[in-house]
Amino acid sequence: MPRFPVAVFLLLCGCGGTLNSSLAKRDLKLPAGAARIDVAASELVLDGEALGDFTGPQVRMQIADALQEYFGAPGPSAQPARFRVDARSSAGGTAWMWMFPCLVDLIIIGCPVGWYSANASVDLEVGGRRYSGTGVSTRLIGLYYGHNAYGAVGAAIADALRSIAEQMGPKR
Amino acid sequence: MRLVLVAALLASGCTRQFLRADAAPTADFPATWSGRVEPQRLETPPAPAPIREAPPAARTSRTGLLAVLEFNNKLKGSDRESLDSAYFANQVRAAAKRIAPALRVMTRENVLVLLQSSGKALEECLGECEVETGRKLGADLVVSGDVLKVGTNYKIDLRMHDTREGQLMSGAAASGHSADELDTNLASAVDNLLAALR
Repeated sequence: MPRFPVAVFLLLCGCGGTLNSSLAKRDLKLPAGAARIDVAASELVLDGEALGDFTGPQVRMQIADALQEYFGAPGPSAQPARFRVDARSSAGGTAWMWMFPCLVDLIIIGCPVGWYSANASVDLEVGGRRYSGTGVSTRLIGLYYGHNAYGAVGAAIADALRSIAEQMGPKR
Repeated sequence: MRLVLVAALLASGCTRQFLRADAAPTADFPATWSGRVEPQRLETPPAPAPIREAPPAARTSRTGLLAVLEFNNKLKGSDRESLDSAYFANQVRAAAKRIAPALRVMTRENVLVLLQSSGKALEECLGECEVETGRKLGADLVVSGDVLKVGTNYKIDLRMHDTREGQLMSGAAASGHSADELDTNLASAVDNLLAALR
């Protein structure tokens, strides 16, 4: 394999979206230390394609961890918080992607061959107040990246959280 | 060949799946999102021995969230069968709430959900891992313990860590020749354990 494709291959291997990375890349302005996420009181419904070997509680735990990271360590006045996530994912692709020259000649370096799209509806309750938001996202599928839909699901959840953050007000 | 590979990749990603994690009623949220309400229940012991009330003077006004992890049952054989570590953990929760009413005590269900979702058994968690589990729960204090037998006595060895500092705050042990005696002595051990908060 020539040197250039190998370099691109390595690069793309590191670019596959996961739930954690898609959520963690977002800079959400949630009030610092204002909430303590109650995992057991939170709910997750995830329906779609390519959701891997995870279980519902595992994914819920990852979302709870990410949310707690956004809020930071619970402060002395932290309120109990819980969330409800309802997300759907689907895979897509069109014929032109197969006809595109790069798919024939340069597929080895990871041309996109399809996409995962996801939409998420998130409810967040903090200290008795409820906030809601929705988000959508799309992630590409290639030979070496985007093998599951979590990148799209995570980005859609982060998108929904962004609108919730705006409802909650500025970061203290 | 390349096209076959890509087709296989796409086909493998197209299996529809459904993941779900339902909410359970907790101390902070007695009703779930769907409105389901369940009374907080502690495991019913076969023959509950009365727990000695801590004297009012010994009560502490310390606030925060306390998580009591499931105890590591180190007993073997028939001894292991006769002592239910989940029951003793619940008794510690109840005693802690009596001794320190201002503390919010995390329910067993909440603690178990976290342990299950992280794919770990408590037996795998020692030292810092207990503190880490407490932090994940959002607890300020975490109590862990071992159920064991030393000589002819059953013992419950309790430890309390501060999750912020990550340090051991106190330790105490309850001891008894029988399960009944151990049960009776547990409340005073919890009293000693929480003395560090006064």
